[in-house]
Amino acid sequence: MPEVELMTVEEARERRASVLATVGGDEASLRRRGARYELDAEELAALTELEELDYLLQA
Amino acid sequence: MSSGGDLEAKARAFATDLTATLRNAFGPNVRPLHARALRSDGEPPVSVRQTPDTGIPLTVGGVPVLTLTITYLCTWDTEARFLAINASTLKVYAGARASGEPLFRYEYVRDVHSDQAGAHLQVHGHRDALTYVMTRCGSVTQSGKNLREQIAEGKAPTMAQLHFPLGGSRFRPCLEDVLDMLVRQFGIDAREGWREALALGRDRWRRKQTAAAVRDAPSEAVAVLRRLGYDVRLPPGATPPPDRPERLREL
Repeated sequence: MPEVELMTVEEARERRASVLATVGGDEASLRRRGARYELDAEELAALTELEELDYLLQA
Repeated sequence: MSSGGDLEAKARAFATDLTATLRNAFGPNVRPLHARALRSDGEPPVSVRQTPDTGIPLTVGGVPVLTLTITYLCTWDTEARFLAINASTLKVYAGARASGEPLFRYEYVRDVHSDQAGAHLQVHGHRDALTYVMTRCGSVTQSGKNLREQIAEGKAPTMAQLHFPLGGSRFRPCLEDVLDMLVRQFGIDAREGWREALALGRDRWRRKQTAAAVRDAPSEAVAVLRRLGYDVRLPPGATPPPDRPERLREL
């Protein structure tokens, strides 16, 4: 059964910071290398999750 | 309006349907998709992604050859009763984990603010003849202007920059179509009965989209039903719902 994770805004922001930290903390570099398709599997997963969290937080 | 529990139930139902579709194609070992939403008194957006984060490995003879990643970013319909897909991405990578550049991707964006198709396919390949033609593109549209600027900066255009349109919001392919293509054309390992299971899923998708298309063009639906012999009429005094040309004309 799929899990539905309900997060507070604070939890989503903390998760975002945690995800970014796992890939070195330089978001601009991550996005730049992502646009050039240079990310390894962990980095690509991190960038995708950042974009997911940004979508949820923007509302 | 959806309550918190209602929201959770609908998000779970959506993720459960997608998980069932994947398992119908690739077997019970596919891990369930993961849904997320913010706690809110209103109708917060919902996301659904595959697990593991590095993608779903697809095998041939038990050996991973491709990886599929899935992201659905959802919102609520105008009456806050149903989840509506705001954007979706299905990407296929070579190898056992998603990294680097995908081979191809199916994407959908509900509200398009450029001259690119809302539902589109991008192929990450190379073809010299195509690149050459792209270097000679016109600059009437924003995409053309962007491409001209890119070329002026010394960056060669790539095939992946082309967004091949796929029928707009209503007639775009569904997840089942992509999975079907992967099994048929790449020979991905599939469970027994996959063909019928995906066909049934496609049937459900197209009925739902047909209903949405009727709301886009009720005048056509009424005309077709009358040709089929139905007596279709509005109650006295009712106003016919208008067609929605913005949906019918979208790229």
